Amino acid sequence: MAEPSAKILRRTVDGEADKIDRISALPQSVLLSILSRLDLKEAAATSVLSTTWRDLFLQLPKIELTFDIYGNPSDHPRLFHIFTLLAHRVLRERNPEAPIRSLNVSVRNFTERMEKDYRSLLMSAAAAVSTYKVQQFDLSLMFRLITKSLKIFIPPAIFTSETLTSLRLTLSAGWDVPENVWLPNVTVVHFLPFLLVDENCVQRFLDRCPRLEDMMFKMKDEGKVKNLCMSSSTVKSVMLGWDLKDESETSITVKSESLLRLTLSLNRTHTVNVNAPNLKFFSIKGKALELNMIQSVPSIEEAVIASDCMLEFSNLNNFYSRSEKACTFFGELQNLTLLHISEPIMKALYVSKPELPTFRNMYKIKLIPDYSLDDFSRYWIAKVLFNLFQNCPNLKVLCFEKAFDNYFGEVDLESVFPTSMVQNLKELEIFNYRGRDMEYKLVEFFMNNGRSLEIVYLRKYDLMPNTSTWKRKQRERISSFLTSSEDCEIIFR
Amino acid sequence: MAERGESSEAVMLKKTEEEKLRKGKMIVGDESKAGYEEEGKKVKLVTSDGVTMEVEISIVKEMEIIQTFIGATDTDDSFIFPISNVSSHILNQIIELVKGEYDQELAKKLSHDELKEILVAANYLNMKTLFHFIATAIANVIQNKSVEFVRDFFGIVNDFTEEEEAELRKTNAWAFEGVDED
Repeated sequence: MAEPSAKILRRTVDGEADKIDRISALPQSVLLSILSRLDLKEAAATSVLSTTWRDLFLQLPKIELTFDIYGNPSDHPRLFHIFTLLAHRVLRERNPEAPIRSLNVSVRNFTERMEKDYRSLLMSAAAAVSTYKVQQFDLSLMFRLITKSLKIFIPPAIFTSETLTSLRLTLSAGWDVPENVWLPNVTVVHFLPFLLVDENCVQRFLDRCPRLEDMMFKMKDEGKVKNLCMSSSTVKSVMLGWDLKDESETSITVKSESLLRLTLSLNRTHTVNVNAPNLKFFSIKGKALELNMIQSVPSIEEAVIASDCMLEFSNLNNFYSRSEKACTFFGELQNLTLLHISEPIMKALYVSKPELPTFRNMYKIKLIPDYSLDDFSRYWIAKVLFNLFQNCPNLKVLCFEKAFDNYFGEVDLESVFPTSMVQNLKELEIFNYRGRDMEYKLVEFFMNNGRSLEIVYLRKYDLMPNTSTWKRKQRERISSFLTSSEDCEIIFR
Repeated sequence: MAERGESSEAVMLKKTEEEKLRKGKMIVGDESKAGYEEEGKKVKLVTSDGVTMEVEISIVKEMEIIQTFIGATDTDDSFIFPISNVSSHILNQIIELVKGEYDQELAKKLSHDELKEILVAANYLNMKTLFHFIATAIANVIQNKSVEFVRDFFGIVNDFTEEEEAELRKTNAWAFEGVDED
């Protein structure tokens, strides 16, 4: 202990006293801004530097309490206890003048033996939310082992805060929404999971959040809820997912005047009804039996259609009628500027052969292949895409999520990409490039024929280290292709 | 040190008087607004060690303390601004950092004293991007370091008694869990 002080004294004698004084004379906010760049554990360790620093870390406006340790699991409960002691200090003993802007409590490797300490930690957090006017509260809890479904008690005070603007709960445990909810300033709510107890539970919650704009719910239930309706006049972005796969069917209705983005990740069969006249972005993945858009479709500019509407049909009539419905929905997306499309919907487009509208605004199409559809021939894909491209006269960007497998089989590329479309295209993107013949063939085809081509963007498949960098040979092969465009830039990533 | 400080202050006072005179002339003679926005223009800064340095306007623009001053007066390129808290050495370092687009790699080449001086300068000149950059660089240096290292880095004199420090280490035990003190 004595040694460093002696060192400093010597330095002082050397005439660097003013330098030293200037640092300690800096306003606390400067020191705090350095502390805010350390994790809380390290910031708290500065408390023993000197009396000036003792309680400085208790004024940090952003608090991240993170318990994320490995090592001997039998020691975790003891360490967690010590962790909560410091957490209590941070949450209860701080300067009352220093509000907490954001509070993040994150616990990993949780076991039931830590439950008592966790409970009291949450009580302190809830008290801090009201005492220190917390605006953002994030709570996350991950179990070490997936035990029997444990329920966590979340203090109800968190749900009656006037100051919270953002509330995000990510727990690998169930929890109950309290009876009394009043979050007048909340704009962001993420609940993963959200326990569906009855058909009105989501609506009841929404009614108590009059400023909510962004909601993300991962639903969990026992298949009891068959109809889920939600309506809000303020919500702009909705993400809904389902936690468990099961056989039951659910109908979802989303209604909002202000809704701009809707993302659905469905894990069971759903009928989806959307009434959102201003919707700009729509994404659907998973199984959808039926998709009904009420008034909303013309406003959609971006769509991700990766849902499967063709599975689990009971008979051929059922199969055809589903396909028809999917095509009707697709045909109405006529104002799209950006489309991500996967094969199930192409299958429907092939089966029903609908008359497609002209997608005048379509600027970019991204193709997401689904190689699991064995019964869908590459020749059919070619047909559907040729028809779609012909109806997109202003298409400038074409993107392949992956093209490494024999995406178009033996089909001639001329029969997939209409000449006019190839000539107008400005940018070709291929992600997950693996260097297969098919990929070279695609690039060569577009470079040879794309008169307006300005950019060829190729991104390597980056999951495997040995394929994640570009080899000189590969670059040279691509660079040697004849280009019909005057200035075409090739970007290797 | 003290003598040098005085002399540079004297120089600066003299300069300020000159500036006032020039300004008077300018208001009479020149109707056009000062074109300090033009590319390639330079602003003269007098550092704490009395050195007058010509600094590119694009860099001076990040110094909000000078921006406020420029904004409040009619200026031409002959204006000279005193920056009494920044030495010429540190100003040169700052120019390098700005030109290097605040690459954290550059911070690794700075000495501990330079890091601290730049922090003081960034705070004084009110250079927001530089301040965030240097605060991050300092946090990177003291991260995972012993209490003794951090005390030495900041030049902090430990004013706790042994008992007080031991008590604090107990109260905030989690902060010292798994940390090797050496």
